[in-house]
Amino acid sequence: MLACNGHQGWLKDMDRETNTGSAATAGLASLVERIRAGESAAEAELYTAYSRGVFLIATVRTRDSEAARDLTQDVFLAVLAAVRAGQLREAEKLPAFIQGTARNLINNFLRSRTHRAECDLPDAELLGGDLVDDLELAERRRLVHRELESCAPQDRKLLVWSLLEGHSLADIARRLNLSHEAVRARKSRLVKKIGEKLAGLSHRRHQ
Amino acid sequence: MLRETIDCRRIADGELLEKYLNGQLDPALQDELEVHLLSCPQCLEHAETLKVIRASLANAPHTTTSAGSQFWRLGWVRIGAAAAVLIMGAILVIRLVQDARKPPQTANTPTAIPPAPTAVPSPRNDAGNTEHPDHPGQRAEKNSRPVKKPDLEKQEAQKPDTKTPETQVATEHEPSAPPKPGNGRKEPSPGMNDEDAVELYRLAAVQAPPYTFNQPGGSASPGTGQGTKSSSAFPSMTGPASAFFQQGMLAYVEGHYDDASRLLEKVVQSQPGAVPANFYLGVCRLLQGHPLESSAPLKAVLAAPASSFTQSAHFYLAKAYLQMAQLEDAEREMQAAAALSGSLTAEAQSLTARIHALREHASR
Repeated sequence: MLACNGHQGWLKDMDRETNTGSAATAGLASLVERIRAGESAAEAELYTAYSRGVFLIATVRTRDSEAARDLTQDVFLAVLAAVRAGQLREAEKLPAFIQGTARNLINNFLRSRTHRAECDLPDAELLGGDLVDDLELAERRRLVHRELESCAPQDRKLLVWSLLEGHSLADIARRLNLSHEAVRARKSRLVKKIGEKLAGLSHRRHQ
Repeated sequence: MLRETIDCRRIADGELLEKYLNGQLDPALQDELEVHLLSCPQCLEHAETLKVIRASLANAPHTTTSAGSQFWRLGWVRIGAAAAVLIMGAILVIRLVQDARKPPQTANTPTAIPPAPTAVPSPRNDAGNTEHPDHPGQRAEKNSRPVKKPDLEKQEAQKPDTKTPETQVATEHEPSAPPKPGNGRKEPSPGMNDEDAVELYRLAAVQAPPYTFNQPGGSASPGTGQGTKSSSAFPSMTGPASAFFQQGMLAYVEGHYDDASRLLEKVVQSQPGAVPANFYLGVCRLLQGHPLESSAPLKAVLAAPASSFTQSAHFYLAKAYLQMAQLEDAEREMQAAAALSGSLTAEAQSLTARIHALREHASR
């Protein structure tokens, strides 16, 4: 099973260089060409670059991380087959193509989920998931949990309202009797702090 | 090319990642954002961070305790459940000892009577997803997946800015029901993962239904349901009960649910058949985080003849069951609300589908 390692290499470089798009387009065109030529390293590169994003999309849409893992694999199998078959005509549309493929497969999955739940036998491997991913996830959650515990109650309230309950910052600002900017800055600071801790965790793990 | 339509600044300014994680984006914008996420490591990382925080908040004990009765969470529930078992055990022992000393008594629990609501701001709306035939995985049939799209700003905009003595609408003073330890809140199924827990949390969230004072005789106005009787069909409250009801609803409108509960309890004690009082008492208890205690008055509403409160009573009873993690009962009640014609029909239908999906998923 392929592992979800996230963006590396050319995609990061691409993002740094391009807001204009030329380097990105060139990078994508090259990648697509190499995949069409059957270069396995290019396929791995594609997966490395986009798997985290696809996994996030699948998780958000299915609310099921186990299913999201499987769907991520399915998406890349479908995308690679389509690219090899020349179905992607414009290389610069690769991200949109991957997203569209992901959306369609996820929708198919959601349609069939109830039926499958009634018919399928449990699959031990699927139920177990990826141990390394699970451990990392647990560690990330512990870290976030510690950070949240050290937050001021009002800060936690802010995060709950914004992230769990879907209230806008403007709404929260009114409720807390603070300015919109103050609430935005406070939330940004909290998320940034936790994000940096998470990034540090990932960095240590990958060293 | 991708950033011509959506960019990091717009995502930050519009809180699009938060809305995305909460299922609040419309399908077209969701697609755009997802394409951007696939191309922008910074935004992807930010989204992942928010997602982890969100999951932690949904499961964190401090979410309940620190946020001033606003939130309930699973970790706390585990402790609460253990404490409840111990307390119940102790009470049982004490009662057994007392029973052994006293002659047996028959306990008659007075049942309250039925109540009513109006439109509840729906946090989510259904919308169809589009599919693109160019992409692998495409199916010919239309997607049936409900996409949640709550528009809180619109809800806010729909609320009246000013209150007049004639028409005073209750506004929610807190974003959702304030759950407290105990009182029937239960842990969801042990097999429930973070996503399920978040979904349950959102499904169980309660917003205070508006109340207007402009009805004849000060009766409650629960909405515009068709095929139901108006609140004027109920026996009008008289004397002290009427005064308590008015005071209780004033407290309700101001968001003082503790006071409102206390006053409405007095109404129900003196007039068990007062449907509006029962309804708002149930809602108040729910908003206070006492789902178990809210069920009796809400059931009393349902036991009364069909009225404009009936659909809402089913709806809020379903919410109570959701807060107690009783998904089967919740689905049944929500189905009943969805089957009735009224202002909550669409939301109840959507919630029924989501509860059903959650049940299916949790049972796997």
